Amino acid sequence: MTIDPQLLNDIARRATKSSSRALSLLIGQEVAIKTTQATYLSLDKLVDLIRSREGSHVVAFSQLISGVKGAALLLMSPTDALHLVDSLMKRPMGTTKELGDIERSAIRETLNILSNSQLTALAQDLGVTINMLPPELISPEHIAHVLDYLAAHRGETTEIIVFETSMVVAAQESQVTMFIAFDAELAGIINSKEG
Amino acid sequence: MNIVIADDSQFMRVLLKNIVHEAWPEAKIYEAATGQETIDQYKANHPDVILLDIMMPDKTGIDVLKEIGMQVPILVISAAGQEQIIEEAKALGARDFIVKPFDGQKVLETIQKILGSA
Repeated sequence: MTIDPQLLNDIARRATKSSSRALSLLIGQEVAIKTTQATYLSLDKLVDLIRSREGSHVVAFSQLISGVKGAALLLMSPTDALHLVDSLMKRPMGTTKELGDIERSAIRETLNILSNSQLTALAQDLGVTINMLPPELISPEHIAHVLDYLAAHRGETTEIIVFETSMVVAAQESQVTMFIAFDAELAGIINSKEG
Repeated sequence: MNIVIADDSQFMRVLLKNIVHEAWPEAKIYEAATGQETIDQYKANHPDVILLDIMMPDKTGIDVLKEIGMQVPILVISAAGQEQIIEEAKALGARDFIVKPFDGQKVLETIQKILGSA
């Protein structure tokens, strides 16, 4: 199935604005969108894309389970994760030295809020309600296994639609990147709304 | 005042507990990390209001609303802010719905409004 790349990117941009606003409100700091793009690619390519994000070691992951199947991932470097937690917990920058239980909970909740804000924007655009499971933290080497599992439980299509959003917290010079990968049925929904 | 804070995120429970305690230092706060724990806390402690997340393990917030939504004032606080979910929660008895991320002051004002009309 084909989809107009410009249309896809327009939809992704609106969704991205929603999540950057959400992050800004969550941490009480200005957030800039560094990258936003939507692409049609295979799961293998998605794994390559994620691996190409050097230094991204902290990974939060959630499955999209209804409406449109897929997955959401939040990636950041260990340093950026500690800075993010400082902001979330209203601690002075540099306070958090390691990710304990509550710090890991804060990162999971960040993925929950950021991805849901994009899904809410999509729901407003496309009229589809997409639900996701509570996020988990996984190690980067498990990303491929997780995505393989999702591939095995998908339909016959080999392509997926990926929204990639990188956001920079200006005051910290730290960056978080979120990928939301949708099963290709999203293309059908988009085309039917635009048709 | 008794309040149950129901969210599978420990971070979120701490955040909400701090917000509530700042406004009502005498409030007794009970926590629940799952839908079933929420129902158990309701039965054990008869809260004046429940702050309820939607996506939780075992039973979801919607499942909790189906069981006790009409019996106790419930304020839903969830990242799942899609219109269909909000409508369903309110139809099952939620007094109000705040989408995360939230402004702490708004949470307090909404709790006061709910308690005032209880």
